[in-house]
Amino acid sequence: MRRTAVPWLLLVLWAGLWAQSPQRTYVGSDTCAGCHTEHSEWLRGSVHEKAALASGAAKGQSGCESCHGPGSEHAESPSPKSIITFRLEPASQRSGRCLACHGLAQPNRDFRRGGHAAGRVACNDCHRGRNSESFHRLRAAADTLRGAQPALCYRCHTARRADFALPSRHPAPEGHIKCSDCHQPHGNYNLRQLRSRGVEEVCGKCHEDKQGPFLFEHPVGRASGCLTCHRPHGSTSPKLLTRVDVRWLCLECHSNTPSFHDLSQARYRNCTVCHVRIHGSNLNRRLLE
Amino acid sequence: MVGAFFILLMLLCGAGGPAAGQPPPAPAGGIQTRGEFLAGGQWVGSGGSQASFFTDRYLRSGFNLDAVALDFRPAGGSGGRFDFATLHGSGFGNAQPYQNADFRAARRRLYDLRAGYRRFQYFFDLPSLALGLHPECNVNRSSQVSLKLFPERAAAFHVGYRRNQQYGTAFTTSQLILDTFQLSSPRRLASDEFRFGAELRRRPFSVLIEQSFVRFRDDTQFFPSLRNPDGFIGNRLAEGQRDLPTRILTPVTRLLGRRDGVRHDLTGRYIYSKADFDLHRFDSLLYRIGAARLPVRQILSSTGVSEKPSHLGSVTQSVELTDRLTLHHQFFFNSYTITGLLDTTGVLRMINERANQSLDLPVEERGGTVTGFKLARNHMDLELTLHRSLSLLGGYRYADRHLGYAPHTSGPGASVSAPRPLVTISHASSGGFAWIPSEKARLRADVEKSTSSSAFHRIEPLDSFRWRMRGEFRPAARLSVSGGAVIANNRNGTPGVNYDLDDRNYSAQAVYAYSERFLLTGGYNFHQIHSSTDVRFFLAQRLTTGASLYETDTHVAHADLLFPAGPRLTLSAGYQLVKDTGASLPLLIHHPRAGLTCRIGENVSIEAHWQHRSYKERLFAFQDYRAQVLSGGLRITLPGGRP
Repeated sequence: MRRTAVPWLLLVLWAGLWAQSPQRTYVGSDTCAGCHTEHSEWLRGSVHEKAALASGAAKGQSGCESCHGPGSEHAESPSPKSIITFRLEPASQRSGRCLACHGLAQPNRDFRRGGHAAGRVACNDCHRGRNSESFHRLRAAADTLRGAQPALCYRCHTARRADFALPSRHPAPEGHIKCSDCHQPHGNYNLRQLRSRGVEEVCGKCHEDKQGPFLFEHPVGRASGCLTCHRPHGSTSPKLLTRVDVRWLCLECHSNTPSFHDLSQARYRNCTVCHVRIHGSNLNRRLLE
Repeated sequence: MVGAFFILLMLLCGAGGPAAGQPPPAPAGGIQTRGEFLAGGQWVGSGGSQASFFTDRYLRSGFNLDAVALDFRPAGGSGGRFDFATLHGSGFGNAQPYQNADFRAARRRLYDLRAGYRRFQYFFDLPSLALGLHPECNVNRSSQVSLKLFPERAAAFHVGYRRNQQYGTAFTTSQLILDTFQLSSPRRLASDEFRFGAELRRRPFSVLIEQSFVRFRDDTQFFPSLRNPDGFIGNRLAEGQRDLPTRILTPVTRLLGRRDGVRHDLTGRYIYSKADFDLHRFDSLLYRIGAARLPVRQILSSTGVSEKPSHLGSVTQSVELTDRLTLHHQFFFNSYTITGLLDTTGVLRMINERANQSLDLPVEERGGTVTGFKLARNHMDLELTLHRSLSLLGGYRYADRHLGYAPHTSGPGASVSAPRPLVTISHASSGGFAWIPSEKARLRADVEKSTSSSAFHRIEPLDSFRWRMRGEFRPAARLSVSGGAVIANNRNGTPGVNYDLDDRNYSAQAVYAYSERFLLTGGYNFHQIHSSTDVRFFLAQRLTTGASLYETDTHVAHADLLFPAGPRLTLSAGYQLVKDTGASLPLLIHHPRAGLTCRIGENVSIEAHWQHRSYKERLFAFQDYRAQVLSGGLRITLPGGRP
């Protein structure tokens, strides 16, 4: 009996979820101001006061309801569940309200395609100002982030804080580079939401001398990028390398070195003493100069 | 002494009562100005390896102009020449290695002007790389400016300029006449990018056209190292110079077309670029060979050319198949061929100084490489919303890569065909879920598995697996607990290679934010990497088989507290521990810190900070260091308030 009841209960629950909510209509910002006097005052003169939706059923609606949705049901029975509060709704719905206007141009156009959207992270999880007042008072398209990078990103990406504590790292904790210099937080189609099509171009934005083209290429970089040898966020090894001792890194691929490369001699224990142009050389096929 | 300084400052701050609030003055000239500055100094004392400390943190005693922030806005909210203009800066002075400045001014629907400047001092001097023969102390500067006209209108235009520079002291090594010498190679790199474009919009369509030109210059010259002119086997690089001016010019054309539908977005993108490389080398170097110091002069000149025409494009679409099912799809391709050729002519001149005679050995070399690359990738993701709190994710990625690389000696103008490529076909599939059971909790997990048909290099994995989980729980409005786990495994089981990478990362963090002045944060992370690859090498003239190992077990713990000790006084304290117990590089780093901010007037406050850094390596104890850093300053807020 119990076994047969469970699927039916699930089916009923499922059907309930698919049911449409009652049709709500727009009532205008003056109605909202009747109760929310404080918010109405904050909104006066802000960039969102005259925000107007340009399409769909809400075409021409402006003010509070352009973001919070039609307020008729909320006006009749005031409850957080009868209006869009940007707290209780699914992330896609919260983001959808913002993207109706902000999704028309880059960088937000591809938000739905990114990992944040897939992970149900909404716009206001990061962009909500210091508090509700500061957000509603927003007078210009200034920074609305909850906090500064990288601390803002660490809230979810907890492991990255540890990477940037290591001795060899990019200067993110010092604020010199931001996570968003390499990653596009608003979404794109690239793996890891990197700003370019592949890792090598992201790195090449600053490390231009490593990007080539070279007369004599080190083709491993063309095959699988900089991350073959480097860890991008931080490492205990110098130069963000994946090995402490560079010879072991080189030997992983170059296991057929000539016999005079005798590791008992200090000179041959450090491959980059001779092979200085490891990213590619313009003078020597063996990357010697 | 540091403690006494802090106690004195706390007593001073505790003496006064709460500062009286004053209304901000009326905006002058219709512009509301807000801003603040922090100016002061820094004292650094260090022991142990100074080179190691500077490589880790390039902090020096000196003057600091930090946290400059200015914000200008019309008193009425908008109108006039701009809706807002902001200027931010940090790190100026001679005490910090990183300097940043950003400026932005915008008027809605009319223009958006941005400018940025970054400068940092890069220092590296560790003997664990290249026997310490490659130290450097460079300045890296980057500046950029961009202007968008009519940014939210049907026709928008943009123009931008970016310049990167790198200059400063550096050393390298070079293989010359069968010996290795240290060379002084002061960096002189610069690149400029100029771009302009237009975007035309007519809903639901939009088209973007952009043209940019990137010019890269390397004017680094090479000289014998004065501090280390001798080679490894008894020769000497006595005098001379190598000039190696290098130029790369890359025009890039970008086209992007887009259709934004209610349920269907479609984007097409095509980028064509052609990098043209040009090099001229001139060497005139005098060696002294052997114990007798016999002179040999190397006179060489080379010309090098290379080109890289590249085609890159993609078609992407997102389709809402139903209200709950969305498909994201992308087809991507990229192809390029890099053809490089170097022609070298010259002489090795053996000089008999006593007889005033010389013998020339001619040098003539020609060589280059050709690299051919083609990649096509098809990527599909499905999102199914089962419930308002639960969604499922699934994806599949197919890639077909052709990569060939070979040396060649073809002459100028000859058509060089790409070498026979290695074809690698890879499949990756992924799945996961995102669950938000309530406003207080969220959980996301996904798994990805991929296989490849071949590997271009030995540590390219044939099988990869990654599992991730990330969650956040907010039991109270001001308390957030989050955590994550990532397990990744890469393998290439080819006999003789046996590449294996196991990467495990577990982290947890708690944030209690009672107010802007009362904040408590703590966290812990454990990262374990065990990696192994079979390698062969010569040891004492015998071919030896072994394994390249990397084993780290890194523990990172941190705690930070911001605490209001009174109406005028805010204290901060923090501690960070990094401890690696793995076999590859056992190390221990302590980083305690403390600070206080004391408001001594309506718009003035004093700040003082102390930090200690202790760095210990078990294998390379000569790289250990410890440092005390004391900094302080006066923070002045403009009458209009903080930005």
